[in-house]
Amino acid sequence: MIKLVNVRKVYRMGQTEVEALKDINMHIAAGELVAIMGPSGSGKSTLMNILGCLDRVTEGTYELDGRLVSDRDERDLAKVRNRHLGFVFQTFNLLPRMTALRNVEQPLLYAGVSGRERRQRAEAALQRVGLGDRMHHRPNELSGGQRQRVSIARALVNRPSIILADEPTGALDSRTGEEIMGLFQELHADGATVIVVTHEPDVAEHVNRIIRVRDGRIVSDQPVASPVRAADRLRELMQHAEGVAAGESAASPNAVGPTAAGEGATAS
Amino acid sequence: MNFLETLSVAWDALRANKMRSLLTMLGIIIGVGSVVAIFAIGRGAGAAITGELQGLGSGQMILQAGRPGPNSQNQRLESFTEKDVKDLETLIPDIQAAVYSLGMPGTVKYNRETVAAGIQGQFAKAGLAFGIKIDKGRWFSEAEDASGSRIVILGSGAAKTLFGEGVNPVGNVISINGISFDVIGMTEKPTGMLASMAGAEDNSYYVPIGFMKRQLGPNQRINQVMIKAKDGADSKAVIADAVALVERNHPGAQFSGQSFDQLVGVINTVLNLVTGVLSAVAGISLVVGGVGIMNIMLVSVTERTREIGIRKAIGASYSDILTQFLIEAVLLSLIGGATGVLLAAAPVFAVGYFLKISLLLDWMSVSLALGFSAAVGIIFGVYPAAKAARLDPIDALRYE
Ligand SMILES: Nc1ncnc2c1ncn2[C@@H]1O[C@H](COP(=O)(O)OP(=O)(O)O)[C@@H](O)[C@H]1O
Ligand SMILES: [Mg+2]
Repeated sequence: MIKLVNVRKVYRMGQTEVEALKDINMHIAAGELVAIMGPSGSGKSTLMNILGCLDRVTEGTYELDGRLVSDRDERDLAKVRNRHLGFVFQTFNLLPRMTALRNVEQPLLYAGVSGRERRQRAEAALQRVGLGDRMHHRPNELSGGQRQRVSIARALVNRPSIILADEPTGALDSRTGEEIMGLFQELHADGATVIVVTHEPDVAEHVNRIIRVRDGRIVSDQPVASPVRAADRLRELMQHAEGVAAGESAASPNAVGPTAAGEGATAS
Repeated sequence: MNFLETLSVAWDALRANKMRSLLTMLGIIIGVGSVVAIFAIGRGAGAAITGELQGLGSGQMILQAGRPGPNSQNQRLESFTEKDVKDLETLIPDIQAAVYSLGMPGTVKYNRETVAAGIQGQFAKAGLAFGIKIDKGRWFSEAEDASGSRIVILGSGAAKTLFGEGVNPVGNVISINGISFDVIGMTEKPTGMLASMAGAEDNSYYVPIGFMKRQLGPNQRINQVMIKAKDGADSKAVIADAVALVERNHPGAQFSGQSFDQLVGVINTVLNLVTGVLSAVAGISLVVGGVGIMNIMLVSVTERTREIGIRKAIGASYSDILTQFLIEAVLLSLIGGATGVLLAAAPVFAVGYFLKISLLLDWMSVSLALGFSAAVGIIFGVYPAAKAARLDPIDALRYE
């Protein structure tokens, strides 16, 4: 489904050149749930933008669904982004003046879905992410987690085959992040290919495969034996919070830590 | 994205900045408003003037000695003769009547009122041929002309001066240069836009030319001959024939003629020119308005860089973004244009009401104005829209 061969990406700024990606080779099959990990500045977002057809490779080839992306023209790529890809950003990137429903309708507008069907599909997508009661709220009337749910609803409303999420939990607390990862796991269970960029090991524990990047190169690519199920961990978190409340002490900020350790044998 | 959706997105964007949108439209509102108003008033006035003049003097022409031109001062100016006038009437079939008038200064007295005025000796047939409209009493007859009767028809203004407003002067006796005249008629007060604008009244005293000839003596100089052509005659051809005939009677001398219709044409040309120049000046503010739209659209594109990035990421193509911003610009200019038309309607109808003319604010000029506004929106909106559409999605998403 996704195939990168000898991909280089160079940013040119006047005289200086930044080589953000150096010789990336990668293959992701349909239906995978993958995390791309790495420290800040390692090229994760650059890679994501290329996968999302928002940016082009400097060298090498990117094959998506058996076709070279470099062979497609601008209009064609817009269509691919609209129908086959769904984006989730760290900062949500919702249109601030529109309600959640209108935001989710936007991709359908570009797909030419009209009137009633568009509205029904947008409502269904919002219900799916658990925001059936917040459809007419604007982004500034929603919490961070709710905003990210809206943006996930927007990403999945056109039933894309691939969902790309660049640090989707980066701006959220761990509990909300857990819920978001749970959503991705559900989408994956329904057959979507989901690629999540993150630098948080806790988040990466939820996937089936972790690709590590450093300085623009892939340094490891390993399967995860038994991924954490977000639903399980959420239940533990709830119990833990109750326990803490019973013990009359404030919830510790790294409450997830011990539970994760207790969960045991996940990826390193 | 379908058109209605794009329209509603553009509408939302304009509404989000109401004040700014309104100020941006102002240039277009003023531009379109003034062009529409000037055009409507200019065209309406033109049509009214033409109509009135044609009603007044259709088929009338004037023959004069000499020809207008650079050397006109050095020409020998012949006087027309009685024979010329008779020949014009008898030899040219398209001429219904040819007349001249004789004038003299007069002192007019009635009761204690004394007025200095121009006295006109007219042919009896001039009354009908040149459409002198009688309000009270009557015009004089051929017989009265031939006998040199001492009778006078007062112009409406002259009657007002001597007898006061709304008084019927017929039957009274007035004195002109010490001679008593019976007042047998009074002309109609001139109506229509021209008269009401100029406040004009007919201040003439019309007496039979037979009387005038006796008074002034024979061989009076005749400077002008008035011709009334038959209905449907070609006034240019009639003038050419008339000039040729008179020049045959006066070998070596030159004559010329002008028809009333030509005069109307000249007036119309001048009026159109004035309307055109004024509209062009007003049109400049349309251009200024267009530049204002371009300016605000560029600001808008910069402000909404991130939105553009988001839209591209979720599937907007170059042409989707181009259309969105173009429609926004066109919507601005079109709403401005429509407002301008509405604002222009008020003064147009006010002027029309006061000048008693029907002004031409028709669908034609309204749709022309709106078409023009839309064109301004497209012309000045295309650059900002293309700038928006060309944005790189990555750069746009990074934009803070
Ligand atoms: N548009 C750009 N222009 C210049 N350099 C860039 C641009 N985008 C990213 N880079 C550089 O490329 C490298 C990788 O960046 P990025 O992919 O954003 O890393 P990450 O998402 O892993 O933090 C960094 O050194 C960054 O400075
Ligand atoms: Mg990044």
